[in-house]
Amino acid sequence: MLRRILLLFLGAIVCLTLPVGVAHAEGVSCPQGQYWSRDAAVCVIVVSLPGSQATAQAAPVDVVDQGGSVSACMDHSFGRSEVVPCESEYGWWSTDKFCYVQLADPQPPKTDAVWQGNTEGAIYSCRIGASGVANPFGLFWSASMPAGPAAPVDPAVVAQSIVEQMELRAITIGMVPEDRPGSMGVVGLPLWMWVEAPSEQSFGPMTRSASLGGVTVTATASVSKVLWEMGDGGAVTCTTTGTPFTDGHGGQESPDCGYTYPKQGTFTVRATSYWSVDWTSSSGPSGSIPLQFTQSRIVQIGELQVVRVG
Amino acid sequence: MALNKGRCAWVTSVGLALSMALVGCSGSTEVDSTPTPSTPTPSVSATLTPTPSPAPTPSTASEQAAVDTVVSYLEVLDKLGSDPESDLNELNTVATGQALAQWQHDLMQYRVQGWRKVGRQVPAFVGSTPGSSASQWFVKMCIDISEVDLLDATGTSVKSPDSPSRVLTEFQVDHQLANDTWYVATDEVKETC
Repeated sequence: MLRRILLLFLGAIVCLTLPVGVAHAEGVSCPQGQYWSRDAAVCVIVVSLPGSQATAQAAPVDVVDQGGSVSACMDHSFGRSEVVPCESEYGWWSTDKFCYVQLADPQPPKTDAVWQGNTEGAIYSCRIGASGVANPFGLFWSASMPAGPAAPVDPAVVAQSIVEQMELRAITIGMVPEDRPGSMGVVGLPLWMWVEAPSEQSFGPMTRSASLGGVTVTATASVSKVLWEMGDGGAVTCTTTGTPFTDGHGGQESPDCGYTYPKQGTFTVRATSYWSVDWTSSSGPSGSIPLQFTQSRIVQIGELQVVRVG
Repeated sequence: MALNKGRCAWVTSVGLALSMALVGCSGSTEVDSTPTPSTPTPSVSATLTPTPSPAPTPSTASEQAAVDTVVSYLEVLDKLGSDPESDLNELNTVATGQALAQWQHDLMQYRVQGWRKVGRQVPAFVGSTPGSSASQWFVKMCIDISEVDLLDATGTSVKSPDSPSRVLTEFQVDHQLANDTWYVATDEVKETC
């Protein structure tokens, strides 16, 4: 505790003697990590966007708290730089935006200008924390939860964890001619493709939920299409699992997923399934995680020749 | 959070900026707040020395939209800086990304510290270059900030006295296809003009 007080005291001295947020400007040029303000005509620290490199320049210093080493939250502003609590009634301190952020509650409708046309992510409030000041906050859209030492669980991270647990995979290719020696297709005859034994893992839909840190995320994974690349330059996109071929279908075209080779040869067929894992969270943010898996197999296509005997 | 207004002294830049500020904005066109393409003003030279080259004007609809967005953006900044009661979320109609984050932060600081902006930024279009896609422009403006001041709660200026009168600023302007709206994404002062 004593060390913390000492560090806070040192921080105050820094504020009094080294105005971190303001720097000499040669004309209008500023040191890296700062920009020239047209209003104040001085260099001020750049507010970085989540995940950007500029974040590191304003990285919080380490202080020792009662519970051990924690990341301190620093507020950089016009002419001052000070340690602030990492949490307040206005949310958690964002080390990117230098303000307290929290999910806007309620969320503005997606037609609101603050969404800027986005449909995923969430709206957060950004507030410095002074009371009695009119409108000292702004709303902003963010695809991911703003980072900070006291930030709650990011539902996007939970969603990613769910995806890993789903063990989604490529389809098993169903096709006639079959994948066995001596099985050969014929030029000009319809070839049928389908998803062999479709399951939650290979085609969806699959819905799973997980909770962490008071946040519950529900994700639904499903295949939107399968792109069949036939190996001869042709490709077919199927939005269904296709129809398995049976002997009774001889010579007919597949009703929903088929192809006809125009020439003979040995071809590598690639079936790529396109997944979308759409997730929502109890804390508001939502999103979609695209995935794709590919399975391939060899197919031989021959030419039928009529041989007259006698 | 304690405010240290006035405790941390402004560090001011020295005379170089002032001398640079005397350099004019040649080749630029002041942009009227009404977003219409500006046209060169005919000039007459009594001595028949070379006349100033025609002021640049946006040549395509998307470029014009980008320039108009910058003008609106500067107007919104002036309005929000001068009126502490105004809704900061108006920034979301003209700015996104870095520019939004930066000015949201700075304007909040003004309000918390009791600062108020007076005067307005007067932009003059200098030129623009297309970005990496059809939905992006980099717009350069020579902005006259000689009338802009930042006053504290007592009415005392907190603006550096060494401020140049005009600064060349480059804006990255992006078109958000989802809602067919242009936004200023970055706002960087480059040099005096």
